[in-house]
Amino acid sequence: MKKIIKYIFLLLITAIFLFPVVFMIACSFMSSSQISEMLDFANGEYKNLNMIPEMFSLEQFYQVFFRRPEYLLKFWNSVIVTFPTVIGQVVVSSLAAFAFAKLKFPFRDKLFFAYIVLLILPLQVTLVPNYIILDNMDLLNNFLAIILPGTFSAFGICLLRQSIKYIPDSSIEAARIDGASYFKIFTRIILPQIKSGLVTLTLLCFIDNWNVVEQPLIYFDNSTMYPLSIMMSEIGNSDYGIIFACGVMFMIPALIIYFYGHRDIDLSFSDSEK
Amino acid sequence: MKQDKFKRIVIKFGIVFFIVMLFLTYFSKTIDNLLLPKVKISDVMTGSLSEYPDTMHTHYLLPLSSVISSEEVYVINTLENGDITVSSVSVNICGSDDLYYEVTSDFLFSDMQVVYMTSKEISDGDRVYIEEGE
Repeated sequence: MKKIIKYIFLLLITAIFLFPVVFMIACSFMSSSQISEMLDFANGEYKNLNMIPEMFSLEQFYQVFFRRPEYLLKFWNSVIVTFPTVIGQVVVSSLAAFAFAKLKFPFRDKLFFAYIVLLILPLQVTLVPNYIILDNMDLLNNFLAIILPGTFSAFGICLLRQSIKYIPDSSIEAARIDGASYFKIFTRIILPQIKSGLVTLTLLCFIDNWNVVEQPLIYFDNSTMYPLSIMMSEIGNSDYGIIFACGVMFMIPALIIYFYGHRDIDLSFSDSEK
Repeated sequence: MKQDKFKRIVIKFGIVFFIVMLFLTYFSKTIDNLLLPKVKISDVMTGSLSEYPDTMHTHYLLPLSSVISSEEVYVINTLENGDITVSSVSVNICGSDDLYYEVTSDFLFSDMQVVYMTSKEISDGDRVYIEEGE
């Protein structure tokens, strides 16, 4: 009996978390007239809020993919901002984390403490200093304004340092005795053992940058450079229907990365539990 | 083994997704225009076919094929977002020759353009693609 109650409770929680996604997918297959009728907010409530399309329609997708190519361009802006940041952060973080975890150099722990402080600082605190630095470097209105600060984020270093710390020093020492360079140790011993950490970092970094809103608004004057995440909040003002189709399009790359690495991510969390 | 297969499927899906997105980004307008009815248009001309024109009303000369059976013509509207649509305007036919109808209408003006040929059936408010006339 207890088990059944537990499963019902879990199912309810799952349903609550999945509802927005299912609702978005269902609405993306509705006609624009049904959506505007449904989302007509009057007298403090929505009229006819339902999840089943009256008539299955691909009108919203047609609008996004064929009639409004600006949304596709925004999608590519998101790709341009996100992918280099993710690749850069994974490379920089793994190298830095290796140094912080396994190499001995002066002020190592104090420097790492400074990194932790950076991690604790809210994004809004560093926005203005970043703006001034980027302005001096003449990088405003350039995608590098988002890519560079993202690449050198402290979060990835802290995450991967924890994974690397659990690798025994003896294996590194053995490799050193055999004449392996630090780079070889990093590529042959460290990287294969922190694969799940790398996948986790990739996914978290991807989601963080894919959903970026504040930085483009501040660093870009030209709205054609805005990623889709910003346009998603603006679409609602003009056309409710398109937002759902855009949402589905926006969700797919994150899902692809999650499905690719979900076993590794689950493994990293279950390992940390042990 | 099963997991590797799943990963391969995910990678393939990802590659296909991005290729499709790239294709759509480059060709979305082209595909959209291909799906629209293609129309040929002509400027609305003022004039009369008779020797003694009626000076009370403005008379217009429209190509024969532009006037549909219900004494209506489709005129071109360009919307703010750049979309081109058609709207029907009723006309009164006063006369005709081998090329033109002479019409009067309260809703027709000399700066308008009328549709005289279309690749598909069109109705009021439809979006269209204007083909270059001969």
